[in-house]
Amino acid sequence: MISDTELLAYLNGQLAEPRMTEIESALAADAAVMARLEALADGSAAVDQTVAAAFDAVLAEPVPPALLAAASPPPLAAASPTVVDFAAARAARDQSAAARSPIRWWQPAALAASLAIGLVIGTGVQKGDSDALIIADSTGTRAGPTLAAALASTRSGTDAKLPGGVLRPLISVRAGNGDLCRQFGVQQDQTALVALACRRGDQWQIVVASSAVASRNEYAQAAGPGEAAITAALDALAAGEPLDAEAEAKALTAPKP
Amino acid sequence: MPGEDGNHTQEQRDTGDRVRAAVAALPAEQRQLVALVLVEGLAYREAAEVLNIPIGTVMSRVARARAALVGQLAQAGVMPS
Repeated sequence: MISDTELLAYLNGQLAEPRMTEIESALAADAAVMARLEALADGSAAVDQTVAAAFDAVLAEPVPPALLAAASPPPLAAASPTVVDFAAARAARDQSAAARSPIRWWQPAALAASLAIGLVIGTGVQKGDSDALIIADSTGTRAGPTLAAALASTRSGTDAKLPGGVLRPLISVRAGNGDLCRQFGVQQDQTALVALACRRGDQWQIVVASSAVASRNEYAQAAGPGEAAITAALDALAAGEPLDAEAEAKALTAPKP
Repeated sequence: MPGEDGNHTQEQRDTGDRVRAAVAALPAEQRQLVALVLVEGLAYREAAEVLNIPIGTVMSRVARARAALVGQLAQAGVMPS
């Protein structure tokens, strides 16, 4: 028999092995135990509050004005409707990332897609909405169908209209493993999103994303912390130099590996 | 924040950094649930619906994540063990 006290301790991560595993087995075997556990759950664990506070601080922290001033407009803001100068864009990105470092806002270690999405997009991750911008489920975090289609067909530096927003891919790169990855921005009414996604089959998996409340057309502001995050993610992927327009077009139309 | 004691703010930031680093060190499947349940405040059932996984899986992953965080944060002196 498992006591309520023990169940609560289990849920709050305060139980030692092997009891933890034993309770997990009991949960799997007995729906009644599961129901009791759910009833007990109240989210009051001390660790919950500590974690929530740590991320609330991050989410509430405005992008420091000094960082905004130091950052030259990223490629998104600078891009003409034609093809951007990739070498210059990359150089500018590296430079601005260096200028922003160290950045408290997003630590590279904290940039796993699930966390970034769960935290920063929040309401953008919708349940039961098959056409959400970003979909997070048990298979991972990926672009919704509309965004995925736009990512697969929109050249860098040009805009594509999405329901409720505008997509602008910034660059395309090959990751060290050969995956095609794209950095892009999405401007919506209240928020701007910057993200990096890599193509796996028909899906665009979100590697990292960051959003900020922004007034219309304030790409630069939204890109502040997100840019640093994306630079770190590109490094982690061992991404090569941005593809030029021709290579990009070929990569986008090429049969998926 | 302007006018606030500088040391206090620095201390809070250090704590925040440690907590975020501890979260970042979790396996991806646990981190996803930490984001949804601990930070976004979704109920277990809601998180299960969002991710389309059984609620039991949600609970065990959250429990595992909490256990790891409690251990790490106690070690870092952020939380009493």
